[in-house]
Amino acid sequence: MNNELKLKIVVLIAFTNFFLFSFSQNPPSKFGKISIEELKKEICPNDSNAHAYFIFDYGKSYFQYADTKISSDDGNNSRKGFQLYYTRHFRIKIVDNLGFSWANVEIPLYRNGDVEKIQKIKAYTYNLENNKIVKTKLEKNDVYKEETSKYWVTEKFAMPAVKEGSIIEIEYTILSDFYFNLRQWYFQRTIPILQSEYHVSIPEYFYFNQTQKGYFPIQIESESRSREITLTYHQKAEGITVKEQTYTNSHNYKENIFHYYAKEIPAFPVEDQLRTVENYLSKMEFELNYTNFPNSTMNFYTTSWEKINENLLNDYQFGKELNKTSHIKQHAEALKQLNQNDIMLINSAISLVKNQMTWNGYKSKYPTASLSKAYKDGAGNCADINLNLIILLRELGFDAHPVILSTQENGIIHPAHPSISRFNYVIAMAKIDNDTLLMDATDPYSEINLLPIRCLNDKGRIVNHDNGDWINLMDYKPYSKIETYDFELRNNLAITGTNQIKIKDYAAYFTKKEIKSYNNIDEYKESLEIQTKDYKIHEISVLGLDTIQDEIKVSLNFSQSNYAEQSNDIIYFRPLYQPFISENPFKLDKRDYPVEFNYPITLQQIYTILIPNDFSISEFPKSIIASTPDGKMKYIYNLNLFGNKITITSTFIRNKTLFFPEEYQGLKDFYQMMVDKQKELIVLKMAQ
Amino acid sequence: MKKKLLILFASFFIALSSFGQNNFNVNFIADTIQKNANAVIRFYNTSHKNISNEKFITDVHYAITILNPNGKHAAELAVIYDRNTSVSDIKGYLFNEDGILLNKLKSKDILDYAANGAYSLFSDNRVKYYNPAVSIYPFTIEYKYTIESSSIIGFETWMPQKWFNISVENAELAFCTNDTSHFKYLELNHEFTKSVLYSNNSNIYTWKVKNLKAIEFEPHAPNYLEFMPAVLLSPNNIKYEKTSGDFSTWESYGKWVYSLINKRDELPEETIKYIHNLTDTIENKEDKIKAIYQYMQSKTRYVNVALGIGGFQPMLAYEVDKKGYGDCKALSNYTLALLKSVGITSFYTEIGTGKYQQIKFPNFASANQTNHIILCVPLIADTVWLECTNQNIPFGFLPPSSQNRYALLIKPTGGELVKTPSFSAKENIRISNINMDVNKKGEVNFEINTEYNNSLYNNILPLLNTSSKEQKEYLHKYLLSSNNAVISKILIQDNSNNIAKAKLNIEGKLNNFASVVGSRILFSPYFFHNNDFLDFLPQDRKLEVFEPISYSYTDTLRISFPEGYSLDYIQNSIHVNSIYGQFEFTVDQVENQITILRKISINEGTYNFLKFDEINEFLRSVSDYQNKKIVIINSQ
Repeated sequence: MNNELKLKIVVLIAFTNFFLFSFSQNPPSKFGKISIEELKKEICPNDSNAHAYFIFDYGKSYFQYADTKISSDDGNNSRKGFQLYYTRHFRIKIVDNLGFSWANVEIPLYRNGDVEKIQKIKAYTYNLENNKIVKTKLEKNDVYKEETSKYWVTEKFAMPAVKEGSIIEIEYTILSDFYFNLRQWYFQRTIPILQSEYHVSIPEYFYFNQTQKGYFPIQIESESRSREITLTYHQKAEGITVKEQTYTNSHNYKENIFHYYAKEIPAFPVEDQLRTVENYLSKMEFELNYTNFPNSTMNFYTTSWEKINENLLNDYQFGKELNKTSHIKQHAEALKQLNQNDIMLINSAISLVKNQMTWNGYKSKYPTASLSKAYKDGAGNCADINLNLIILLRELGFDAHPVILSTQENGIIHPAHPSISRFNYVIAMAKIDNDTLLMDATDPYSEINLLPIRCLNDKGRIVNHDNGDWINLMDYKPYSKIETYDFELRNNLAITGTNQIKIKDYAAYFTKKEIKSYNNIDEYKESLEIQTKDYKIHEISVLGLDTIQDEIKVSLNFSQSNYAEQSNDIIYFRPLYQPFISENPFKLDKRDYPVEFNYPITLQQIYTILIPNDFSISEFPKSIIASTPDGKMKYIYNLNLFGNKITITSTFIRNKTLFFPEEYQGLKDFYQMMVDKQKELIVLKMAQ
Repeated sequence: MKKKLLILFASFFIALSSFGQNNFNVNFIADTIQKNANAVIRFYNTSHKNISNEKFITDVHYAITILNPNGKHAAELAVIYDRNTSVSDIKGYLFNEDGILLNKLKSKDILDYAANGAYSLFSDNRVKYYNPAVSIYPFTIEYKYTIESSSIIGFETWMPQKWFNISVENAELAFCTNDTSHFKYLELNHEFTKSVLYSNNSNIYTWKVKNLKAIEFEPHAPNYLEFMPAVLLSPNNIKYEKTSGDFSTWESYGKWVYSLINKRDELPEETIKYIHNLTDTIENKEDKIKAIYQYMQSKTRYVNVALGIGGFQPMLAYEVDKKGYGDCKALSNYTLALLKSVGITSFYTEIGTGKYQQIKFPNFASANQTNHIILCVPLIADTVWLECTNQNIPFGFLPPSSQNRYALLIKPTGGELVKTPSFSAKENIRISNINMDVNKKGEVNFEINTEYNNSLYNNILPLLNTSSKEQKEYLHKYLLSSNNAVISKILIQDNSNNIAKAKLNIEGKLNNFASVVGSRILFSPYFFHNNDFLDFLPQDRKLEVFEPISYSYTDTLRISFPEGYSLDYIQNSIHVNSIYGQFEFTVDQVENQITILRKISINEGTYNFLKFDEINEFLRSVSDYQNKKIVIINSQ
């Protein structure tokens, strides 16, 4: 549902903005034609806060047939066919020295057998000296080639003579044999871009799915034209029968050209509480759907969601692997002997896989090698682990299926653009009656329907024999905690009492993680004590730490000296001893992008406070019930007095995880109200 | 600088432990060794073997038990190497809690990638990296590898505990050489079991430690070399790439550095001419230096390309002039060349910058005590220190991270140790004038005027050249975080002249400043700025408290409250004098205005546990007076 809302907004914005561009495929300016006005400018025309900005960013991708001369003794393999060219040409104005990092350039190149090559780099820095333009060339030997990792090489250089006010201009072309690697184009970056355009020419033999992302609108135009390749065949003489001859052959084909434009694109702000900027940065993405070369059959890469489902089921690395069950049968039989009910049995299966296998930190929808090998090795990526869990669940008789998904940092899946490559993760799903259970055994602390945070990203895709389906990944479990404080305020201004905490769902998930990061409860206790001055924990017990699904119960006896303050004949103190939110996380005046939370929240604190007999309660906070208009967020503060006893219930419920920029002010104010309410004081007066 | 990488990594002595044969059952670890430890080093053997003048073989063999997820990083293998070193024979074994072998490291699992940190654009450093997949604690991992170095300039400081929250059962360092004049050592913070053995024409030095308890990280603690057991090892004579040097004293070490920088200060004619034009009419020598420094700042930026004698040799001044960038070596050497072109002598100066890096041992020269280059310009009356790697700082400003410590001037005759300046609490001062106007709803309009002087200028430096949007965000997040502030004006000015000085002016409103309870309004005296010292020392504080610089705050807070209200309660004036610092809080009231004058000064120094009570008492007064509420009451 969240996803639909986001898309609607994107579409709305896209239709309400129109630009008029000339229909040109050339760069906005010829290389080197720098205007003195640009060099004189001291700030970005549409953003006085920018430390640097793109004057323009221009890109072009096109295919060219590599070998138009073919000799009969060429090996078949040496023929490259179509190659992909990518040219980028941009100018950046460096406004001040905090923009200098934009003058350090890195160009990553993919390698996998073949290596992508930079054909040429042309790069200059322009400065204004005595009202004259002085240009400095990037020397070839100042370009460094870093062997970054197995699949990546990076060409790196620092632009010369860069000062405040400089303009740098860079042009390069990358030649790639990986024709599926049609480069995406970012229209938005963390600095403003005055003009950005990308032109993509694709021969009819290739069909790419195109996905437009982000809030800032991109204008799209397309056309087509006819192209011709002329191939020259050279037949060498072979014995007596074949004579040497040369002949040419021309092929006509259609080339589809797409033009993407945007103007005056604002800098993308760096904000907290966004799962990934990738969902909001304006950009164009491409994915090869099929190839259809003359005289050969169509070769599909992706088509529809149904086809993706079918491909996965038939994939030797996916569906076929799921049919191999022998390595797990024995373990399944042992579990069956336990005679547990369905949920208990599923939990036992999860525990078994968690104990048997450790996640190696890699995300993938495909197993590393074979599932049985990973199972025996005891470690693997998320597919190794969760696909094995599915096999085990099926062996136990459950209706279990994989759910492929895209993790938070990988961005959300666009439902209108079927794409297999956008998925980078797989979890397990089972159905009991009408209940859907989602499981991920990569994380020691995850539970049924309590997935690791990385998986909480909109929707996933069930892979099954009914053409697959979407499934919501979010909002199954909240973050919930109930704390019961019972303390006494003494005449010496100290407090002493007990605190019982019931921790459930995501709160339990994080608490388990935290406590387990200490060697024992004692070290955990010390870490709590060290945070607050004069705070002492006399006794602590933690229950439920090692069970897979139960809540955690923490009980502690504590005291704090000097908690209340006295001035003349009054004593005052904050009754909400440890408020659940003590600082508003939202500090900025406005927000350009949504606030995304990972889960709903339910927090409650119940206080029972005894005050000294010789004091009476003079002032106390008012009870309130606050709620947002849609009722999705509630805060209740309820105070009651019984003689020298005060009871307070403070409850916060947030059933919503996505807030749009226009809701930001309301969200911020609501949090502030809660923070302030929890700071309110009780004033006691010495009895006469 | 990339010096760290060239220092050889830890290693081992083959004769003493065979691989994969120990019992790593976690039950064998004593409770005292587990206490506060995230990881326990079961054994860690490092051996350096000198096989010819410049060639070394370093064997490393260790096993470490990871007790909990906070110690997981210690299970990672990361061996850094470059073109002068090669890594071979990496082996790894993984054991469970009971010491039972689970897995062996396969060579295909070891990643190899470029290791350019955030500060360098390019260098030839690479890393062999492995991170085991384990989520069940505790577990033990054992590694072994060999590093061959064709030339070295030093060895990594041997610190058996490696870092905080790591304990040690056994660790051993061995050094094997046939020429004992070839190296020197320095033992720190521990009585090591040391032995010297002579066999096969070689001297074998060994240092052993047993049962070192984990040390917990505590804020405001001294440099770890003040308390963690360590052995420093350094060669006396080195051959590094095409150079050779004598490291027996700082003076001779300086000669080697001089050989790297000598004759790299040639400049293009136009630049020399330009500098003459710029400075010939300036009378005062210091003003000339200032003009040249500022020219350098406007013309260059920091880019680190670490090539050339393992990254130790600065880029030619000529190249810096053309390219307009360089690292600390290159920019210092370039500034040196510019000064030289008008006849001003300056010295390329090695320094250790930051809390954990400095030239600590004047009698023990080694290459790993420094990590930065600055420039020293001697004048008749005074000395000017130039930090050439920052385009934003004022002329002559030496950041606190480089103050009050040894620096090595590199002269043609060799190195010369001198101390960089330090400043008193009267010089490092922050002065604030704060006006607050509290209304009946508990809201407050405020105006802050703060001046940062000398070393405390560093606190406002990150904001000086940022955009107004960034300034606002920063102030909302860090200075006004807890009070729902609305900022109406921000003005930040750099007023540096002879000393570094900047002013901050903010106006705005805090919507939820005071608590209104019935007829009373309660609020704490709010000084806006955070304190650079601790709120309190926890009861079981163990490490000494270290304050690198002296400084002081003088805050004048004027609070006006509404007509019809009278002052019901305010703290008495107080004056606390302690070895750690002074605190003064004076209250004055005239009708509806309270004026609070608060002075705090902190004395630089290292304070041991005998002083903790006194420090705590001091800190408690400061925080009590900061938190205790002033009460005004509606008297009508």
